[in-house]
Amino acid sequence: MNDEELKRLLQNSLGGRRLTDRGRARLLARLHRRPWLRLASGAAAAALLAGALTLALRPRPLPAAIESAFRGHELGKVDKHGVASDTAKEVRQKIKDATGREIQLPGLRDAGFGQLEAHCCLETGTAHVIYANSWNKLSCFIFEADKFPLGGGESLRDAGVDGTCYRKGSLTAVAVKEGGIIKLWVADLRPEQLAAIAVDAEQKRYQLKTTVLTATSEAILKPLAATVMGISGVEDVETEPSKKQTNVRFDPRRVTAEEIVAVLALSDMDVSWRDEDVNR
Amino acid sequence: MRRRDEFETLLRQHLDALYFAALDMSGSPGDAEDLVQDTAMKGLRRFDSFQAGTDFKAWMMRILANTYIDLYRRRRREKPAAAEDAVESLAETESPLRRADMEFLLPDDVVRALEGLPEEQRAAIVLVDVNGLTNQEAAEALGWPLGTVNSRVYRGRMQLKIVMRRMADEHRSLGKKS
Repeated sequence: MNDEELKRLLQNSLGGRRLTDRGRARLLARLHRRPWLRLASGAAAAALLAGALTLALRPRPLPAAIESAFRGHELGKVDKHGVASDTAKEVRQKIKDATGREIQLPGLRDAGFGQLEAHCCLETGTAHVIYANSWNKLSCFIFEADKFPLGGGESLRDAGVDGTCYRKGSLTAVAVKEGGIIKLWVADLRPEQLAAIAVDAEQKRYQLKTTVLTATSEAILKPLAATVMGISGVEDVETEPSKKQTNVRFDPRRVTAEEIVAVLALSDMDVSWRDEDVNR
Repeated sequence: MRRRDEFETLLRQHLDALYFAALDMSGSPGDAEDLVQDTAMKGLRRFDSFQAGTDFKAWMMRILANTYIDLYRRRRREKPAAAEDAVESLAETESPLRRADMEFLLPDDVVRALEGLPEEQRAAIVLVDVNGLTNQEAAEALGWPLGTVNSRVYRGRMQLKIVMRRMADEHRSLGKKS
């Protein structure tokens, strides 16, 4: 039996399953229940205890920079999720314009997000990079640590992350400080999920490599870029038609330059390649 | 309110598929209900980003997978994963399912075979083979590298074929005896 036949067997056997009327009613009832009702279903003693704890642990006001980042994140416009309006090069340039520094942010394809665009926030002058997938968006704000000092928050050291976490409603912010710069990641995700993304982005930043592929003709640069972007581990691709070149930034933990070239050779795209310095 | 109604109408149409995908991935009815509830809340919050005319079920399935991965990570912290490599040794000694074996499979065999897969392979198979996501979409939703999803789908399929062959052989021999 081949894979297609197995797939059909699975879909025919499992695809048409129906909830019982009772199961369906229970699930719909749960979906209509408001979160506060779920809390209210606890025992009265627990409610009292929760009330007392709430008073004792009443959250302190968030730092202004965090409030502003949450606001900026909500306002950040994503028209077509997954369709980038800026190239990686433009994102880098805009970060440089806003911060005065060469800062490379990796793509977040491993975490399911694509890098869409960057701009400078008018309100704060910070760089704001927007990522999105088909149902959610993620922001990274970059600014000098002494410009907007951050206090309070919850340390993520116990989770093995040198960062601080802030929450407001369903939004989470994770601030990671390094070399006088703060990267503030904001998304409608759980803290551990966002922290994992932020940490991976930091680790990846030091490992990303760039390879320059030189094609024999300018005509293949477009299909070449599309093929390379489909390879797992490739972060972004920049094409320079005048030089018949494509710069490929990739995560060497997941793919090598030789493998990228081999994939292209399978599609009859012959290229020569050379490594660039590791990006910082 | 209209958007909410629109979301709920679509959700009701795909509630069964979402619930059973959650059940297959998590292996527990309680966890499955929690997953569907969290997925619905996330979907409603993000419904503005859903493009009308595109596949709502696939969109929700990606949110479900992303919600499931939190549960998976929590479980892994409590109980490390069992070895996924067992199938390699099985494949050396056992034969996979053939088309001719299918008539000896009982209705519950497919569900039982799926339940027997390691959790990671089960999640990959449920998303890709049962619910039609591409490997790339599953990789993005689960936050796993594409190569990992490819390998889990491959191993899961191989194990399913071996286990179902075993089930079919068992039913065939019982049939001959009776």
